Amino acid sequence: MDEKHIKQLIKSLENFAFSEINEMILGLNYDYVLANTMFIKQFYKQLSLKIPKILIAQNPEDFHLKFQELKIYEKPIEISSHKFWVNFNASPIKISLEEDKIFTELAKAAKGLFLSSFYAISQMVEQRIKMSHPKFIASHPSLNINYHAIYWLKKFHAKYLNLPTKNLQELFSKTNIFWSKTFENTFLYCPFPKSIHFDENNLLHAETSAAISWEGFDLFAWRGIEIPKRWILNPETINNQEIIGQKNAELRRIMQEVIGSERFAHLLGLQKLDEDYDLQGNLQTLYKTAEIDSIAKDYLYFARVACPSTGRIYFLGVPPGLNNIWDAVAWTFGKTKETYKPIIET
Amino acid sequence: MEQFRQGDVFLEKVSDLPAEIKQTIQPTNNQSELLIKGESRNHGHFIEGDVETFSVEPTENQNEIITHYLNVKTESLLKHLKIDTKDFTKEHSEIKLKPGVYKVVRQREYNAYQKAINIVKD
Repeated sequence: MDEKHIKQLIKSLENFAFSEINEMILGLNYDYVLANTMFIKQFYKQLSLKIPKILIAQNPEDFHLKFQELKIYEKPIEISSHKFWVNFNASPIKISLEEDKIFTELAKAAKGLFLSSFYAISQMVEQRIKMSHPKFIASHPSLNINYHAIYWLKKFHAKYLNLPTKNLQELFSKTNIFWSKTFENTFLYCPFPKSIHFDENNLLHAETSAAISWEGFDLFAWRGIEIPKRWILNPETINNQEIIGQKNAELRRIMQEVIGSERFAHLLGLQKLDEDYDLQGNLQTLYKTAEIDSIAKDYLYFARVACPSTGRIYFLGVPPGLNNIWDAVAWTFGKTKETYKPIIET
Repeated sequence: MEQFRQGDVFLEKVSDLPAEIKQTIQPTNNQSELLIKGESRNHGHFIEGDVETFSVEPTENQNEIITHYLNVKTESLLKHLKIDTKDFTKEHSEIKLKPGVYKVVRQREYNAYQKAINIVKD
């Protein structure tokens, strides 16, 4: 494999869509526990320690509780990532020079790509655990970030590539250690979530389910921000009081996206400012809210418009101060009613 | 100048390519090119024909959110197709474009909470 080929692989990694991650997790039906056990044994051997007792947490919260209990009896060993990799490279697992080179290059590229997403997941999980366990001290991703990068990289390989890195592939593609703590006699770990959903911008996002889920531990997220489970599972319960009571602008905007601008606007109470038929004969209306929005510090304005072909209704936010529906529609394309004159609309 | 609209995509004929676009952007010229990909669906707006496509990095918070300039050499078609199969979506009919230069503008909306202008997600 030459330089050019490696560059191509890195390029293909850059186009990697996180939305595919979930499919990858579900698509691979390995005996993870067995693979993890083999990996941990190998790892302890490299540290010249005897094979530990392996403790598996069901989810990050369980991981935290088990860790709290364990550390009463045992002192965790801090393994620096450097030490781990030096050990690993000196291990009896034979890695050819070629494998090593390809891997180093790809891991470097993958690390940059995946880093922010790992931290996004870890941070969100940590925040949540802190809510019920204020003393929770953030645990760093297992072993090191390289491991995570390589974890995804291997999933990526398993699906798309056929690299001559069989030994490492064997080891990494079948393990699924998300968080871990190393003790002299015990190795505690929490596996990767059962499912993770990202949006097209690689932000944690799921519109009909949890964005991340483990056994007994779910997180719901909208474009990278954690939201209450109820917004996704029972959005009909969102009411006027809850919208007005929500003082965080980001969360209020998410509510608008979750329930749709139309319901959002109706819940706020609307005044009709202007209406007219569009070129297809659909009624289009300009509204403003009855009250000044406490966060936006102004009335909210919406144009209710119909798609020229499908007739589907859209509620689009428009700037305050407009009073003519044609101006509002024209504004959505950067025009005024005088300059917006499409000769064909489909 | 002539204007066309296909769903959330708006085309306007312009007299010429802006000089900085001509100088800085290398056009593509494929017989069929995906201009705008629907965010949540397998749909997209395609241009088919002898067309030089200049892709512009769209900037939000602009008066016009321009994504492309098209230099249409011979009569071409703006189509709304399924991205994987290239079948007609049965949503927006095709629009014939006569030779000339066009700018492609996305529909935008106002976000009162962020005081920002965003592309309408389809």
